[in-house]
Amino acid sequence: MTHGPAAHLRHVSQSHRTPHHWQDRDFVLQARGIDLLHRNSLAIIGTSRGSQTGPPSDWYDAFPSTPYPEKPRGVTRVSSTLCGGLIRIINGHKLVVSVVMNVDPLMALVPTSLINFVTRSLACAGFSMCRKQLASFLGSEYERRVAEKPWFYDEVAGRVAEQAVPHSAAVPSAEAAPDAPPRVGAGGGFLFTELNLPNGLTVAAEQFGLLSSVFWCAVNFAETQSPDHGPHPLTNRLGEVLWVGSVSLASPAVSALAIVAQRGLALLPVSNLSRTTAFLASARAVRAAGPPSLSVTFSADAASLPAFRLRGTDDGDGTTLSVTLILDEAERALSAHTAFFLGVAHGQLEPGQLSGANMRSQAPEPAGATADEGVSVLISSASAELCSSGAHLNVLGPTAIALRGDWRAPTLVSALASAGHAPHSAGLADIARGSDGRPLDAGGSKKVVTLIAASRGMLHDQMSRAAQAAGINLGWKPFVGLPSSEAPPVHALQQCVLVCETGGDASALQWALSSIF
Amino acid sequence: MHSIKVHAEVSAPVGHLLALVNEVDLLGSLLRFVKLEARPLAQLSRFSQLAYFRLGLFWPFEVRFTAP
Repeated sequence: MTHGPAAHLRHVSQSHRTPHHWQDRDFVLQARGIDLLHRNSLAIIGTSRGSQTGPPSDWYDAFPSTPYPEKPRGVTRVSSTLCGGLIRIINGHKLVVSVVMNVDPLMALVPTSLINFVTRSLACAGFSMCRKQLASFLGSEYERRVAEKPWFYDEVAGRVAEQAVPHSAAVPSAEAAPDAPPRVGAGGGFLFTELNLPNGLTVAAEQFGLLSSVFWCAVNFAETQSPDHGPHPLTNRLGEVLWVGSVSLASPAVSALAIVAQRGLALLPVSNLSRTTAFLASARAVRAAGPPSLSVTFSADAASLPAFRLRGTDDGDGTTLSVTLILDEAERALSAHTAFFLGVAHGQLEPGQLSGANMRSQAPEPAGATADEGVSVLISSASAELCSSGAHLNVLGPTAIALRGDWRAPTLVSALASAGHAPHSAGLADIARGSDGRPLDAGGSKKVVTLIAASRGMLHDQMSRAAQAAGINLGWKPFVGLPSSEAPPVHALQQCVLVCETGGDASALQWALSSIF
Repeated sequence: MHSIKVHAEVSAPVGHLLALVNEVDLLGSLLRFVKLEARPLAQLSRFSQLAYFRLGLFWPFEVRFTAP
């Protein structure tokens, strides 16, 4: 390129295509904020998507509207990046920030000592500039942005004001609560109060990782009487169990056993109803006899999960899954927000298999219904019939259920289904909104989360016909505002309402399964 | 794989710090000592977003231009 400050003077610059090690680096980062205010913290987890050589993940294929930029020429795309930040609120004007990043800069020929030196220098300089910017925050562009986005900043400020507790009082909760007999909770489930669940799950390894970008667990629920088998760390993270019961989201085909705990939610598909029935019977017996003696084995093939590493070891009775949180701080902080399970089962659902005895559909409970012990699942699934029938129900294709503390309309599900990337059902839960678009409160700080399942094509048609023949109204509703008339019809079934004690609980639910989307 | 861990104390309201993190397109002007291109791609949910980052390599790795 040439340009001349004068007719007789030229500055000539040449740019050269640089070899791999001298190219700019780029990456696409998906970051998610996590409400940990019950521990006086906010966390941010970021993961990169796509790599230099590999295509973007299925996640992006599923959402073609999401822009995923091509790698520019002459740029090296960093293959994988995992980063996390934890902001601990000491008081109103003092924060402790921890940032951890795992990244492969693809500089194998560059001495590590040099990379470390530069990294340290950049980190120090970065925080220095952040401090300077924060000191001059008022009147800056950032202040204007804050005013422009009340849907984000006001919400955060409101949650901080509502939930943040003095630093000395921010202690981990529910570590050693005494056992207590369960009692019947809303929706017919068993409500355990202050019970650390020693229960267990066995996950079939071959059913793990059906979707690589998702933390999937197809579950065979195993009841193993093994008092010597201590509680699994992941079970510890589940915390106090508040409610256990079966849940029927759209039909028996998506029946699931739900364990709602103080620090998370587990949805276990009824892919093996007899085992689930046994568990429910066990749980029912517990009501009179005390807590169940169940142990847990997680088995899985390793799959990646943001902020988690999963490892499996074969112990002869399934594969034991160990979950390692990469971030030390997050391990403590995120213990309340461990991602949990989503069932996937395969098989063929024949209309004849559906009957009134094991198919349930019920309109959602009205918002604002009573919440028991923090989180209550206001849902009907008639567990008694499910237990007594003992039928084995096959499921047609996978069904996804995600819980999100997201105030946006459930466009992702509709986009997923209408784009043809969800050959089967999909679903999510969204925090319910009022007519003004604001989160629908269930009194006080409680938030209402509606669980929505969506389906298209064969599954919906088949289920609808079968239900109609059985004289059952499944209550499917078409999604409103679908973008294209060419898209296959997508139907939604709003099936249950979760009332969370606080926005933090709702966020925990979001974290629980939001990685699916 | 390189791991970086940084701790720092910051004297500011949490909302201000979040603004620095959340406003991705301003990061380039904030971190002026690096050639950083950052732009948001999609707001996936209220608390989740997708962003693109391109980091120009720093000296002595930066792209060289010659001006004879």
